[in-house]
Amino acid sequence: MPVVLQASDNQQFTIEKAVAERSMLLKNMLEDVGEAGEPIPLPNVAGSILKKVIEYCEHHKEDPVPSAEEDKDAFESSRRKADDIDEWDAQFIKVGNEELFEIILAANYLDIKPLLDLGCKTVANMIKGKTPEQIREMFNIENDFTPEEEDQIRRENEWAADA
Amino acid sequence: MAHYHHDKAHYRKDQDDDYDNDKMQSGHHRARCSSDDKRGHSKMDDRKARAIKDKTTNTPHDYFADIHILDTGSILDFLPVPESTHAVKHRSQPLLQPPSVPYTVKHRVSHESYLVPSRPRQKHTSHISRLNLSRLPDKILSRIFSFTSDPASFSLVCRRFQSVSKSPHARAGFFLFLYGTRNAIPAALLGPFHAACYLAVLDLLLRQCPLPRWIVQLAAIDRDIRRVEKHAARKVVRRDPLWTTAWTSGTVDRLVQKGKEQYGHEAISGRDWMDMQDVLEEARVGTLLPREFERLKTLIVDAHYTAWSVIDGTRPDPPSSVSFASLTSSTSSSSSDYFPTLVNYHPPTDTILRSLPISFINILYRPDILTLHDLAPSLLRRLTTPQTEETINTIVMTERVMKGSLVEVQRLLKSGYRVSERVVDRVRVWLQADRRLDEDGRRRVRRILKAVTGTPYGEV
Repeated sequence: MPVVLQASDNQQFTIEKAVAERSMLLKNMLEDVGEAGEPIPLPNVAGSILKKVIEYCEHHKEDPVPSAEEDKDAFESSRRKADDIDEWDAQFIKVGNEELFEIILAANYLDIKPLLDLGCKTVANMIKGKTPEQIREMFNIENDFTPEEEDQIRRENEWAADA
Repeated sequence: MAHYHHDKAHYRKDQDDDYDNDKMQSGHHRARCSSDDKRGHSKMDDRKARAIKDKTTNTPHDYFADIHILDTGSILDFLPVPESTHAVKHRSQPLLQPPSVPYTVKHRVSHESYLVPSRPRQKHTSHISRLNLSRLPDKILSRIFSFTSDPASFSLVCRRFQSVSKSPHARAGFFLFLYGTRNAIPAALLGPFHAACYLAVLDLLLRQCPLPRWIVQLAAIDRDIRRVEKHAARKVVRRDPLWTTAWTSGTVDRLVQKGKEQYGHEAISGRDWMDMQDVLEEARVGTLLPREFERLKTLIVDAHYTAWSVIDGTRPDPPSSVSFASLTSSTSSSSSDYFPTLVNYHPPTDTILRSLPISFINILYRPDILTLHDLAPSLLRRLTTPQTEETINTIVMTERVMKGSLVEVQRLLKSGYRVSERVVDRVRVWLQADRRLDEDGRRRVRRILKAVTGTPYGEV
C-alpha cells in the first residue's frame, strides 16, 4: 500500500509503506490512523527537502530498525563510526549549509534518528579542529560575547582544555 | 463588482509599477499600502507621495520594506502600522501563511552593559542565510555537541552554544558518545573531562549506563575520608589532580546510594581492584582454581570491572608523603571511637589510594591484560572498551602472545570492532623500529593489521 506525503508547498510524493516507516512519526501515524489513502500533510517540510529525505529512507529501507532497548548500544557503537560515515551517506549529505540544516530539522520533525545523527555528525565533523572564530565564520554566527565573558568561559572550560 | 475588479486591476498595476520602479532604483522591493479608491484615497496618495519623496531624497523610510499591508478594508489602513504587525503579504505570493519577517536581533540590556562596553557586532551582509546553525533547536544543538570532539571551541562560539554545552543532557550525551554506555560513568568521573561531570550529568548517565561496583567503592572510601577530614577539621593539601577533586559531596552520596541499591550494602565495603590483582597474581603463577576463575568472571561481568585505561608500564609506588598516621593523630585524641563507625574504611590503603592521581586509578597494566588474555580469551572480549584498541595494540606489540593473538583479534573484530588509524600507525612504526621479530612474527603482525584494518598492508 503506497503512502502519499504532501509537503508544505503542496508537492506530493508517493512512497512505499516500508520507506515511510523509517520515520517514527509516520510509522506511528500509519498505525494509529490506518491506511486511509489520503495524503499525509507535512507542513514543516518543503518539497525539495522531503525529496532528499525520501531518497535517504529509500536507500536505508532494508536497514534493521533498532528497538528502544537497543538504542543505547546503537549509540555506543555509533562512536566507532564517528569519523567514518558510510560512503553513500557521505555523498548524500554533501549539500550546502542551509540545506543541511533543513534536512536536520526535517529528520528531527519526522523522527528519523539515523538521518538526524548523520546530519549532526556532519556538522560536528565540520566543526572539528576549528577555532570558535572559524566556526562563527563558517556558519555566519554572531559573536555575542564580550571579551570579559569570553575570558570567563575560557576559565570555566578548563575541564575541556585538560583533555 | 466591476468596481471591485477595477480596484484589483489597479492594485496589480500599482504593484507592477512599483516593482519596476524599485528594480530600477534600488533593486529592493518597495512596500506601500494598497490603495482603495472608496476609502482614504487621498490619504494613500499622500503616503505614496511621501514614499516617492523619501525615495528620491534617500531619506531612511523603510518601515514597510518588503511588505504589503493587507487590503483589509478597515480603518486600520489609515493608522500608522507598528513594525511588529505581521499581517503582511509578499508581493508575489498567495496568502497561505505568514511570511518570515526580516530578522532583528534584540540585544539583551542589563546593568552590566552600562559598565562593560559590548564587543562591536560583526557586519552582516545580505547573503546571510535565514537558517543558520545557531537557530537550530536546543535539542539538535545538544546532539551536535554530543558528537563534537572539541567541547571548548563549541562553547565559545556564542551564548546559545555555551548554554547548550552546559546543559546536563548535552554533557551526558557527550560522555555516552565518547566513551560508550559501558564505560561512560567511570570515564566521566575519572577521565580527562571529569570536571564536566556534575550531579545532574551523573544522574542522567545512571539512567542508562551500568554503574561499576568499583566506582561505588571508591566513592564510599572518599565519603569516609571526607568525614574523617571534617571531623578532624584538618585541611589536607591536595597536590596533583586527585580522583576526588571534581566529586562533590552530592556526587559521592549519589554514587554510594545507587551502589547500595544495586549491589547491596556489603558490596560497597569490598575492594574490587584488590580482588582483581589477587586473581591475576594467582593466574600468573599458574595456580588459578575454577573457583577463582568464577570470581574473576563475576568481577568483570556482574560488577562491571572495566579496563578503561591500559598502561604499558609498571604499577606506581604509593606516595610515601601522605601517611595515615598524620591523619589519625589529630582525630584519635578528640574522638577515639570515631573510626569504628566508618565501617567502609581500610585506613592505610585507602588513604594512599585517595592520594593517587586520577590516571593511576583502576588501571589495568599490560601484564594484567596479557594474563587475562592467556587465562580466558572470552574474558578479554568482556573487557572491550574504547580502550580496546590499546589492548589490541598491546597484543600485537607483544611477542609473548603473538601466536594466539590473531584468534583473539578476530574474535574482537566479529563484534564489529576496528582499530583506529592511530593504532595502525603506531604498530607500523613499532614494526619498523623493532628488529627482534623474526620473519614469522612479522608475517603474523601483518595478518593482524590486515584483519583489523580490513585492508592489506604491504611489506613492512
